[in-house]
Amino acid sequence: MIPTNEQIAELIREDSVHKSVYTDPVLFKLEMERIYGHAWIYVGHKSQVKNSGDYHTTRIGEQDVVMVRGSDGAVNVLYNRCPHKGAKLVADGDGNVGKFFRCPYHAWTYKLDGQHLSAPLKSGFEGTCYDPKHADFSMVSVARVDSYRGFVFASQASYGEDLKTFLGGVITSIDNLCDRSPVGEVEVVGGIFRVQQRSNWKVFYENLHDTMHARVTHESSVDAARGEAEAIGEMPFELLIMDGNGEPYDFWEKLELRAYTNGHGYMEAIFDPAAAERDVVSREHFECLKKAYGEERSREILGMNRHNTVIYGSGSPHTVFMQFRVIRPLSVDRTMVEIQTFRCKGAPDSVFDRALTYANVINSPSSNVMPDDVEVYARCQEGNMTRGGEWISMHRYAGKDITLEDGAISTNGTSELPMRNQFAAWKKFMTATIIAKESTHAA
Amino acid sequence: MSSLSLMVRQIDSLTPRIRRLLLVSTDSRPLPTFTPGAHVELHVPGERIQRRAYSLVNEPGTDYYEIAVQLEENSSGGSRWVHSLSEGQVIQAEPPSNQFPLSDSADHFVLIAGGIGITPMLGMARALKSSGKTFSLHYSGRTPESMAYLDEVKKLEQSNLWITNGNSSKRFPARSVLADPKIAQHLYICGPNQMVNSVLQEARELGWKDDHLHYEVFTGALEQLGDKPFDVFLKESGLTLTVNPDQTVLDVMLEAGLDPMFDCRRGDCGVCVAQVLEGEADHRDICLSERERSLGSFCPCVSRATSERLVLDI
Amino acid sequence: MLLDSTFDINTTKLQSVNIPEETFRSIEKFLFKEAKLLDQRNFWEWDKLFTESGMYWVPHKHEQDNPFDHISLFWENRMLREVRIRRVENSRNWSQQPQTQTAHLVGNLIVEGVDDQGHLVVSAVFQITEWRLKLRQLAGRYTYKLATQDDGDWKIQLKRVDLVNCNDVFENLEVFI
Repeated sequence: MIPTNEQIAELIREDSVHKSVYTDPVLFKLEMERIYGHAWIYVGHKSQVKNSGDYHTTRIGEQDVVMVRGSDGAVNVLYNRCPHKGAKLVADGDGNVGKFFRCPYHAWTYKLDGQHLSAPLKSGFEGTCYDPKHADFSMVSVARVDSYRGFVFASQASYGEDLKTFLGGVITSIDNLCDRSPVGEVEVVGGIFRVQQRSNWKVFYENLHDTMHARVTHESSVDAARGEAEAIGEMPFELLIMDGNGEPYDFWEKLELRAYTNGHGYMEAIFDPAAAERDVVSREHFECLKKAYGEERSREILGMNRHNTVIYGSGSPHTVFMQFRVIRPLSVDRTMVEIQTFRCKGAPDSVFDRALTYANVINSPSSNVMPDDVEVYARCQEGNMTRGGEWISMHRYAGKDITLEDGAISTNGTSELPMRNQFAAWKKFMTATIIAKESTHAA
Repeated sequence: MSSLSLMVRQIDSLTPRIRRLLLVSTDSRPLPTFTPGAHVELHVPGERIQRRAYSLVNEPGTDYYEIAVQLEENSSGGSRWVHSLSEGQVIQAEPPSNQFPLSDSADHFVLIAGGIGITPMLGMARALKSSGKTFSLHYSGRTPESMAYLDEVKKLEQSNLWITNGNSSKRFPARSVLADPKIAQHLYICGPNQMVNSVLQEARELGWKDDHLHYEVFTGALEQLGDKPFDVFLKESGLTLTVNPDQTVLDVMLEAGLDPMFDCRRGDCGVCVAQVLEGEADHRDICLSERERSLGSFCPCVSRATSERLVLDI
Repeated sequence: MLLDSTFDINTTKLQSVNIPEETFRSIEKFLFKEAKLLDQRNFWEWDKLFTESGMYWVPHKHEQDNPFDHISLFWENRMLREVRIRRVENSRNWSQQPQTQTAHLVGNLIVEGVDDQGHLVVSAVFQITEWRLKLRQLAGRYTYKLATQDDGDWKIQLKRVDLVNCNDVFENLEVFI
């Protein structure tokens, strides 16, 4: 039974949400249609398809899509389906198809923008409605494809806000990430981890700006990092990043939580102009950026200290350590996270080395930090299947955030504003009036 | 007569791409005999058994058949299969037959071989030498390394070598060699289509009678004897290219450094389809419908022109 | 620095070597001992099997060249291995409630050769059945650089673990493979 918009709206209160948003498969299906079927979702980065014919497969919601570089330089995002018998044209993964897609089943071919190219033995189609120029015989592009500084997004709806409007202020995180390159460009390099969580996708999103969990959930890795640092008499980078989760509560209270409409946001420490000179790697980076941007602007770029950014529906880019944790829902209780690592073009090698180290130590499936998160998410997923209560609490500083034109800002860093903001967006998408899409068939 | 069972007794690499095989009988019966110019058809296994003919190089009367096979890039399977055989393997074949016999009434033989076309010509030369008849053997090829039996041919006093190294001015000089044909002289030629066509053309012009001219061609699937060169003007690229009988429009486009779309190179898939703007097309594909052809669609990978000039949109 | 590219990870360009049957047996025993330490969760003793500079590497990519320009599932020096061990034994490690249990099967030992620095390089195939809430099977090839000790025993300069499914979608990998 598909719930009505009223019923869905009732699941979201000002300060709490009903547990079924995490556990109901019917709601999950609706999310795939109403959120992943409409919002701008991150597909991949242009650097993943550098040359004509290069492709990268991924999912938008439950939809298998392929991002491909065309011969005209454009990046296309197409559903991975041959219009003949429906076969996936390319296997999952990355590769190069050459100058055209060729279906392995009957050798129907398509240009790199999806347009029908040819089929064998065409006399067999004479007198039928086979028409190479009709949309039914070409691959289908995802309705809207756009990009910002190389980050390719797609929307499965042909209508709605454009990409920049959809992203709103969170676009400044993409800018900061790219501006850390002296030429303003980043590229995905070094491989992509894929980790599976046994929980609903939204549980991970909420955790990204959950400032109250770090000391508790990550106690074992904080203790281990500190114990080791004591034993060896120093705290190198790898231990420092684990130690960070052990900051006292007053540290987290001082952070700023910025929420944007559509569920996006970031978590930021106060601007620190000295960040540019804090350590060897940063100093090297600063010297490099100064040549491109001058001292003041370089301090500004490196001083922006965002811990996590959330692009709702897509995932979490990390501007300082140059990762993007892309969040792909698999089912109501399974989520896949793909972790991209970026090189800032023109930046010193040490900056990339640091990003790679961060990826290995924090984002690998073998991370000492993430498994505790993943475990508690799974416990939430299972706990919410019991009859032990109906609602999930998001009470911290409810009513105390400052509303802004394009979202809100917290008055205390331990506010649960980000969760409330994400669910406000969820409600908006899930109860939007749906316009039915008409299709024309060839005959 | 039923097919023969032959065993591959010996395999030698004559050049990097040419293998010689000595085939013997698998039982005590002697191999069927033959006359110079004959060939055997080997049964190439596959979904449908195909037959591929290879000239016999050895003299009649030996207890083996000698063939030499060049590995072709666009092989329909035959030469690739032959190159995959190993010594001791048993294969099936038809008994020898001869479409290229030496004339009884000739008193002098002009033998001309181009590339792997040396196989029937050397078979003839060996037999003629043994029987004391007069002949001249002309062997043309690109480089010495690519020419099978070169040493043996060099040792024949009746032989002439024409090694081009890609220089067309070093080709077999038909005009001078074939001038002034004598009444009982017969010409035998085997080699690539273009060479055979142009030598026969010269010979006719020099007065050779048709019944004194004998030829054999080793064709690929798509070449037909009698193909003429034509020009193709490519509108979008702005290039005019000549397409010789042993080339396709696609070949010359690629040689000219263009970057066209193509896939099967057999006229199956339709990826290379272009539009004819001027000229008469000679369609050799199986992909396009009649209606599409009539509207101007054309497959550059296999199709040719009956007019001297063809204009395509690409 | 962790990504110190002067560390020699080469396990393919080797000098061939013939070793006596006795030595072969002693390597086998060493590998069986290593596997047992892991199965018993005796990780501190396991870590002692490494040299001072020894590295533990689980590549992320099939036939991965090196850990310096591509991510790895594990690329751990002594410090990081010790952090892991400390954490695995911490009672507030929520992701080890219950603990991971393993059974390592190691076989097909082959002596590959000797590297530039005189380490003996050997490889073996492994199968691990792992259980934490559900069973998981991990398998692949171990390649070791072994340093001989004065007492005839071995220490590990490099343990390279090539998983059959190295670039798979993984749930967490908590303990050493």
